Amino acid sequence: MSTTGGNVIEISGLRKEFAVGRGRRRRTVRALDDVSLSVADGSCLAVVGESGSGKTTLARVLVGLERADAGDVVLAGRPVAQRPRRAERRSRARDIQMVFQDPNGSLNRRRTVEAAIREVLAAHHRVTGADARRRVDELLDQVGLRPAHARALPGELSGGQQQRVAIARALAAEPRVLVLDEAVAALDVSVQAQVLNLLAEIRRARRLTYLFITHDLSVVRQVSEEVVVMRQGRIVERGSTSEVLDHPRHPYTVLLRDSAPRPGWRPRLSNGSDLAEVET
Amino acid sequence: MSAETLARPAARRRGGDLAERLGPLGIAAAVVIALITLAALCAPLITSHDPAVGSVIERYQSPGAEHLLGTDQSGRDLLARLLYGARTSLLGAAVVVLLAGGGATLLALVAAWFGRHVDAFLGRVLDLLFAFPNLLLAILAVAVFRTGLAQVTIALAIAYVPYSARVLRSVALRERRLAYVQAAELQGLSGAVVSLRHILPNIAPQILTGAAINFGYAMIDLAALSFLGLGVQPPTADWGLMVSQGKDSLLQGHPQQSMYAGVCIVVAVAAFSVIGERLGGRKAGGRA
Amino acid sequence: MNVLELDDVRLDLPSKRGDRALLRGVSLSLAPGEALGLVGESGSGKSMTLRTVLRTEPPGARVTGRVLLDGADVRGLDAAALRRVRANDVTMISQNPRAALNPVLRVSQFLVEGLCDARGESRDAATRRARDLLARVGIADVDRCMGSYPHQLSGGMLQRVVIAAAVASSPRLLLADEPTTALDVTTQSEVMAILDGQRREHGMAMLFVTHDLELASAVCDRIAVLYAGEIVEIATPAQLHAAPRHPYTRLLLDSRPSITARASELPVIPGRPIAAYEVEGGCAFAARCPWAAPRCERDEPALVHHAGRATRCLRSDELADELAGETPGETSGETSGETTGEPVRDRETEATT
Ligand SMILES: Nc1ncnc2c1ncn2[C@@H]1O[C@H](COP(=O)(O)OP(=O)(O)OP(=O)(O)O)[C@@H](O)[C@H]1O
Ligand SMILES: Nc1ncnc2c1ncn2[C@@H]1O[C@H](COP(=O)(O)OP(=O)(O)O)[C@@H](O)[C@H]1O
Ligand code: SF4
Ligand SMILES: [Mg+2]
Ligand SMILES: [Mg+2]
Repeated sequence: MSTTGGNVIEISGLRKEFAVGRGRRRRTVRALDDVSLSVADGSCLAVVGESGSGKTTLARVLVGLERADAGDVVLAGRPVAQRPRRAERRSRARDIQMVFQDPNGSLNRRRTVEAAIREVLAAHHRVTGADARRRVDELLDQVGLRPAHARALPGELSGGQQQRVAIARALAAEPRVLVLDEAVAALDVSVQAQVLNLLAEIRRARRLTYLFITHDLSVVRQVSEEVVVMRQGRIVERGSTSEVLDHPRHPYTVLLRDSAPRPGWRPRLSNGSDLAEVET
Repeated sequence: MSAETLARPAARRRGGDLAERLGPLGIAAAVVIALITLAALCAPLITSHDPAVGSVIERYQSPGAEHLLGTDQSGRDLLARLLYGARTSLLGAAVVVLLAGGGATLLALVAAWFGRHVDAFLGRVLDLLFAFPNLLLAILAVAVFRTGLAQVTIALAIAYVPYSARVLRSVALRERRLAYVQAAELQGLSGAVVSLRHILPNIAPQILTGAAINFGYAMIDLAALSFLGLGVQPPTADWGLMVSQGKDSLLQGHPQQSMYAGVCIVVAVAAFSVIGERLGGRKAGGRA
Repeated sequence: MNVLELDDVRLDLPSKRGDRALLRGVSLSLAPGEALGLVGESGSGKSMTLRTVLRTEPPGARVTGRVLLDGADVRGLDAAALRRVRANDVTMISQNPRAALNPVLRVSQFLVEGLCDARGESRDAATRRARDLLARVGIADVDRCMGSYPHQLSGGMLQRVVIAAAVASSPRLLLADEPTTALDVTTQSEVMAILDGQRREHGMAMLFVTHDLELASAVCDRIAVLYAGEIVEIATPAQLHAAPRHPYTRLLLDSRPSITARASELPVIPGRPIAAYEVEGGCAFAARCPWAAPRCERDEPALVHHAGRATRCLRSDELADELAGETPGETSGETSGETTGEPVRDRETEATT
């Protein structure tokens, strides 16, 4: 099933609008506006942008949680139907999995870690019983948790551990692509470093492809080879990570880079362009 | 502290939590309900009198050795009527709560899962139903069908659905938007599986709380319908009916029947609403 | 005289399993116009420290030690005096500006009424001042902002409105609890610039809580690093970056990925942060400290002041050179795999954010 050298993800002309507000204040927000991108097999593409720029919407369309108004998604060489039937959704899930931002909400608080992972194993690989038990331990081991954690409820785990479980659950489907939507944003620096290392290690070991959504340019530098910068639903800049971070061309990328605190940094006003923030 | 012992304290905590959430008053209320239920179940063991038969010669007897609580206008034993009446009253309310809770949960899950148009449509229908007072709806149903406990119970159950469904819908919707539900959806699991396996257990506390509160209201509403002569028909024993039949006796200076039945209703309803409130912190799926 | 002085502040909160220490003796001081950053991982006690100042700690909490505002102990103030302090001398802004504003009041009502109430100004004067304040926190379209309800404004705008209200009374001390955590980096930069400007203009002192060491470094004169309910190091940003004296500070600095260079592997702090009430004698950081010696488990380090900075580490003198070294990596033989620690049973931090 390898499409060596090819692109695992090919997205072209993606558009998605949402209707917001009600009554006379009703209007449409363009969350994705003609978004095209491709991700090479085994690489990591970072998607950065301010909140509301459409990053999450892009991820949701890609994994099939949301339907685009226009555009095409080709996943592992297969075009993805915009109204997939259940069998199709199931086979897409074996190609692509997602890790969500909020570690707390990504696990059912009444089911154990083991139950969460077993559900995915049973759904995609018909692994049950003692086999599943063994697989759960393997997966937990891969994300640096102990077998004992299998019986824990999410409430008994720290944020970092919950996020590891979410990663283990995604890996259980043995996907080729992992979409990570601000997956480390809610974690403390020390835990964030652990999870970032873990993700890098897993990618190497399993030859996974990542779509890594973040608003943190330092994280972009650490994890990705390529990056796209989004603003108001559009991709405003793209290129290799070092090129975009070292020599940003679009003024918005420059602003993003200059806004990130680092040694010697001073906060500053970007000449009063905040007028657009007032929504009416 | 080893992780091996990990899952257990949580289980223990849940049992402790319940007692803590209920508090002394809530526990007392639970005991009251247990006692009433027990008494209703064991009615034949407690009294040998038939609640439906009495002799006119023995009418309006005062409490005494033979009739512990005295007799009514037809000479029937009041204790027996209260005990057997508890059966009808509890059973009727239980059926209302079960049907209403089941219906409301189903609607809530469907609305939350499909969202958008389905949600909007169900919302409209529920609003429409909600516009009618419960009793009026039940009376209408009786007018269309026939008087009787079964008809009234079903009618009341339908009347109880809209409020519970609306509360449960918002809880289910909140759950629906959480990442774990989307993660399950992502695996290609069907809506029914995700709703029942994931969402339902997480909204169960609200369902139970609503049921407890509704139970009390259902008892009052059923009693009111019996009082109006629309629900339970004589000579069946029923608390609401007893209040109603006692009203003539009341005028003749024999308040016992209405009083006893009234007190029973008030105590049972109060106990159920205390439990409901304690469980849900006053904001769950009950009417009110 | 210092604007604010905390002297051995301890905070215990009763819980089902007995009293829990959340702060284990925090001492710090703030000179007029100075900005002090309070940095640490989630649950380390940053917000709690802040909350002892205006006595907004959770109900039932027992606080000991002294909290001196301009030399007077706030712990002894009566309700009226406390209100006066809150209205005139000390204001607080929090992470979520939406929680600070009444959703049914327009911004104008919120600001003008606040000014009228607090300072007894006339409506006209208050309105003029409110407009002036908004303009000064960088709001371009003052009219539109004044007429808006909170839900019509973005988080960045709202935080500006809250800052405008906070600086309206020209307080001598501003308590800021992660004021930019909910904002985009670009907005964060602007809000911090405004806060910085206001601070310098009014000579206002600031106690600034954040988990972002770099952000704190950029806007604060000194930084206090908190771990498990106590301060482990206080120093200027320059000192901290050039030569951290506490192992925890060193590891915190290293574990943050850099925007300019990619590390082959990020240095990590093994284990998980522990809560103040889990400390059982000895150094609180010992279980995670790569430099821990046998005595670290036994002896409790004191906060030692030296040359304008303070450190709480038994070995900080011996380790000075090693900690100051520029190369991270070398100290962290751990891989992320073995650093997960125990499942955390009682993470109550949600309650605080
Ligand atoms: N209302 C409360 N009840 C009980 N414990 C609390 C409460 N608020 C905070 N705590 C506990 O106090 C300790 C310190 O909390 P604090 O809010 O000061 O942390 P913080 O450093 O501000 O963390 P964060 O970065 O997450 O805001 C934590 O262990 C937390 O669990
Ligand atoms: N389900 C939705 N309904 C209405 N608007 C939405 C919905 N999801 C996203 N949006 C809007 O689409 C835009 C992009 O959102 P999102 O993709 O979540 O941005 P990001 O992840 O970059 O913060 C925003 O303006 C957001 O408000
Ligand atoms: S006292 Fe010991 S354990 Fe604690 S920080 Fe210093 S070296 Fe590490
Ligand atoms: Mg997002
Ligand atoms: Mg805090």
